[in-house]
Amino acid sequence: MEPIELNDDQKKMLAWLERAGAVSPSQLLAQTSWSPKEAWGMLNQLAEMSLLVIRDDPDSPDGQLVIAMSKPSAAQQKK
Amino acid sequence: MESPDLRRRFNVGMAAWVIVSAAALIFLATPLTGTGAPDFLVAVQTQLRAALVSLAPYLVVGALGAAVGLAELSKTFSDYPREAIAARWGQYLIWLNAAAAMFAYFVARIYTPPETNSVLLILAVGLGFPALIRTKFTYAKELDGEGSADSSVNIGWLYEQFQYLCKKQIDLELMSYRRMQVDRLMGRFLTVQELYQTAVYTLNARATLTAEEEAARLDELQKAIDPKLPADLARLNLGLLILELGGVSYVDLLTRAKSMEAAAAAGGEEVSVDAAVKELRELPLADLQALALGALTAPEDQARVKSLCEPVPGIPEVTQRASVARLLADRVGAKTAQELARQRPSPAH
Repeated sequence: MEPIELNDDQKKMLAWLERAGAVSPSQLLAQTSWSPKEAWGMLNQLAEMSLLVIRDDPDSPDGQLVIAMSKPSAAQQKK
Repeated sequence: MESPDLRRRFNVGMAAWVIVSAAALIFLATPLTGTGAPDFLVAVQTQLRAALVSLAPYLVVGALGAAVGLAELSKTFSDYPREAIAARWGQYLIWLNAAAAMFAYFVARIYTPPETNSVLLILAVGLGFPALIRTKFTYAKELDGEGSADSSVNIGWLYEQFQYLCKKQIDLELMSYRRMQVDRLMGRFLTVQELYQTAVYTLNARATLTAEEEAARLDELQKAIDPKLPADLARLNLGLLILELGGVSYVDLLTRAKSMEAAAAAGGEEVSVDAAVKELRELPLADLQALALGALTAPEDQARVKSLCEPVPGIPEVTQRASVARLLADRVGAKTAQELARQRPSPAH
């Protein structure tokens, strides 16, 4: 599989999501500085690349949850 | 029918065994003659001592048989050894091993000369009989060593069938028990988000997983949150993954911590950010924008509110409302945000 090329903003968004764990899209919009249009576009692009999942969640304030696909922990990467 | 709490059953059973054994030992070891104890008590002690002397070989042989059964159970169900021992069919397996060994000793005692050394006989039966009923004797072996055409007598066949039955039944009982643990977890961790965060933490916190095991668990984690799965099923899968990764004691710890957190929240006036956001989200976007612009005076916050309220193709209005609500709750605090939401007239439904 060819490595996926990400731009800086996409990398930053993935890093932010990995730190946050699972968040609602509204939390991401409220707590980051990207414009809603940019952020929404990047979310969809990253979801298409299977680097994150946007799934329904009835408990989320906006009915959805964004989850970055986890990578092995730092401890495991050192092994 | 409610599934039994196997861990509790094991703990209670073990405690009962220890207490009864200790009480019996103290009673038998304490000299009562000449201490003024009632006559019937002295007589009971004397008879019990005599019975113990004659039954001791059977008890030792039975204990050896039971120990083999215990070892088989804990090896087969290494993730849930205590629960497997406490399961109904786990008990059957242990008692069957103990009873069969005692019966074998009884038969051996009949057919061996009276002068046979008891200790040697106990050891021979206690260790040899469990081995014998698990043995397959091969009296003619194929030369190519594949084994398919060997001539053999499988003495252990009957026991194998019983083991298979026990394993299946214990597995079913453990399945119900695991479901009970997952339900406990889901009763305290209500959202996919909470369960996912806990699962990720648990996975990262496990120090003994190999890189392959961690990769396999990550794969399970990602399958558990598949967008095609309904939220309830995703929660179940995540709960099961946490249980498999952390074990029953970890689930106990998590649910206890969550109960304490809930009790503290119920006692105080703390408002969660999510609760405040959900209340604010019910306001129309225009009202929410006006509310946020009134409450947030910093120029960058004002600009952000306006930006979040601009229509963007693809972003649902509920996400816009929730994002403004979230920004407001983050800036002024959940409690103040909730008060602001309650000061606004409720939208007409």
